[in-house]
Amino acid sequence: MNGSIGVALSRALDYNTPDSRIDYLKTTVSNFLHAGDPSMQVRKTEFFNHTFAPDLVLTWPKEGRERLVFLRTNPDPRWLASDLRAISDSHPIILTLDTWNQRRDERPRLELSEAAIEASALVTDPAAIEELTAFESPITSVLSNAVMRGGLGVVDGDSARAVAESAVIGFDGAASLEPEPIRAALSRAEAILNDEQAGRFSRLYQVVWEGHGGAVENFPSARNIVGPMTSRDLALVLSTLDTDDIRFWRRIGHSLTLDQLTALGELQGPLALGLLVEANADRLVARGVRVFGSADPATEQDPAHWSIERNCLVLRGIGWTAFFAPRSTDLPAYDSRRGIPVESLVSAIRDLGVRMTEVKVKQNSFAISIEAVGAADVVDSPDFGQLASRGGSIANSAAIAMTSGRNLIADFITGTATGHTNATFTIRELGPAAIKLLLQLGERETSDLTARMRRESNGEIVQPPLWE
Amino acid sequence: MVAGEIHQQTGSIGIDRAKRWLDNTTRVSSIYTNTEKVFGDLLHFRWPHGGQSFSFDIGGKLRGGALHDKSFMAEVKAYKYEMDSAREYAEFIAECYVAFQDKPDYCDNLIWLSWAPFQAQSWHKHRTPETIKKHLLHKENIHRVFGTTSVEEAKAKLNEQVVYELTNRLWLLTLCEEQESLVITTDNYNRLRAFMGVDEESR
Repeated sequence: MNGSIGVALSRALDYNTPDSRIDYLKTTVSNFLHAGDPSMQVRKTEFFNHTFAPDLVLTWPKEGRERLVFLRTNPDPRWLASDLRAISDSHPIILTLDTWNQRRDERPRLELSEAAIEASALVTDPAAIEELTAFESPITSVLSNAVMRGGLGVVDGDSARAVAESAVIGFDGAASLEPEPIRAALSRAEAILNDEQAGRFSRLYQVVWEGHGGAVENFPSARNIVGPMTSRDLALVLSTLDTDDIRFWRRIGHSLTLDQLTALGELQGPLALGLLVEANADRLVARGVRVFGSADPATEQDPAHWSIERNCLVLRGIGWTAFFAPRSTDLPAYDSRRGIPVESLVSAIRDLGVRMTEVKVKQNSFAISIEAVGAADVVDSPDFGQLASRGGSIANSAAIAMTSGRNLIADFITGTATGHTNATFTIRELGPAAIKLLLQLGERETSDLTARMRRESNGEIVQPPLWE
Repeated sequence: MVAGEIHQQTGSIGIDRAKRWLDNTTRVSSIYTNTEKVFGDLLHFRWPHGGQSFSFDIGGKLRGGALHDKSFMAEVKAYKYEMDSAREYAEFIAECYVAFQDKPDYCDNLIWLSWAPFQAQSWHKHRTPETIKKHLLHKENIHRVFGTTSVEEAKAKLNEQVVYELTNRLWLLTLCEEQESLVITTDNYNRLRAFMGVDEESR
């Protein structure tokens, strides 16, 4: 035990009072665990080394998951086996703070291992945590997350290193469609993971295998692959794969939600994110969009690209940014903008081929609101025609009837487009219309966006949900 | 296996049983033993004279009621009958006397935890100041505690206040095997977690 966790834990001996030493140990272990999986929260209890009261409680709030951690100062497998009998019901993690070196008699350790597997409990030590987090490879990070959630058996430094190494080699194998390294990686990982996490791990390899053109039926696992993946798995897939096979991204996004995407945290640049969003633009649902900046008609617009920023899915063009959010409260604070000339509004509405159901126009000292009755179009209203022909009229907001039948209200002052009350829209429906209205983008730019969001796949393959 | 090793193993098993029983009372928050590298040093002390050291078997902190946040150290004797308990108790008293003067914060409660009583006819006197003083002045303790073999000199050095403190801090816990299993069942421990405040926010 001479890695960074080992060094940190050995500093505990510098703390000369029981309370300070216990607090140091628990904080150090918590920090290492949390660094290995930021989606996890670690809570320290008032207990230390207690037979059945845990030292730490790990929770994954978004997954409604909890796992108890029992720190143990004595690594003797006979002691640990006795403790395990008392706490096995909770399938905990027992983390010894010292390494068991007395290997004269392997029997107690083997018996402990069998008991731990039987109880779906993980008995491990700092050296193992060190090994699982030592590789700066996304797949080992997924592996350590899986071990924290559903690791089982006795996993020490040596066995953790073997699993981590084969995971890395196997992941390369998945990308180059070599079955043997994958088989070895999955077999080693399955030996230390419960069914749910082993399924999640295998599925990740399968996703990469398919993403690189491998046929599903040739994937080297007899496992009936089940089990949802987490945001971290999704981040790994996005950072690893660069296939532009839109069918693949559509299969991946079968049950994807905007919440799951924004849970990825800040994510700039991967083209895969754009492919995933656009392939599933008819499935991803947003409450609204808010724009910032403006498009300069004189500047040649490159295709806008996607990112995740400030808990929103973001589409960024030259000079402008659009934030899509699952809830209104997730939208960033707005910058006050000016209304748009009525002539421009009419032109945008005509381009979109939609009906305007309401408009609020400001002219000098008066504000005029016109609402369509029934299936009428405000643009056809004589009053509105007069306003438009008079010139100088500024529209502060306008509502349009979307193909889904709902009204989309574009507020030009806040740069925001939302529906009434809790109405939601798919990104495909909301994106091009809202951006065209709010940013007054030209036909050429929005038609590109519209086309990107309508890339249909042929012969869609039905697959169970991939994401939690 | 040599005799010393057998004795050591018996001691280790006794410590394990004692720790488990203390945990099962639900009145222990932190607990560690001298068999461990990580905490063993906190249970080690040096005799003031003669250069030798000694240790307690278990240490930690209690919780709940009047004992909340109070420290404890325990000496465990997993004997089936009295054996050498009387002599070892005298040594334990001397150890408590020394430990209290060195680290009083560790000594809120000093527990003699055994599976067999000793000298039962005078059980009620085991914690009196007179008995404590008698043990301190015993020939095996007098030099390592006071640095002299003269009873008169040792008496002059003896700290009465410490003796008084020990009378309030000494426990004599005598367990039996049946008592070890007469505790919360595994089935019920999950419910006990909430009762023990594990599911609340950390304090």
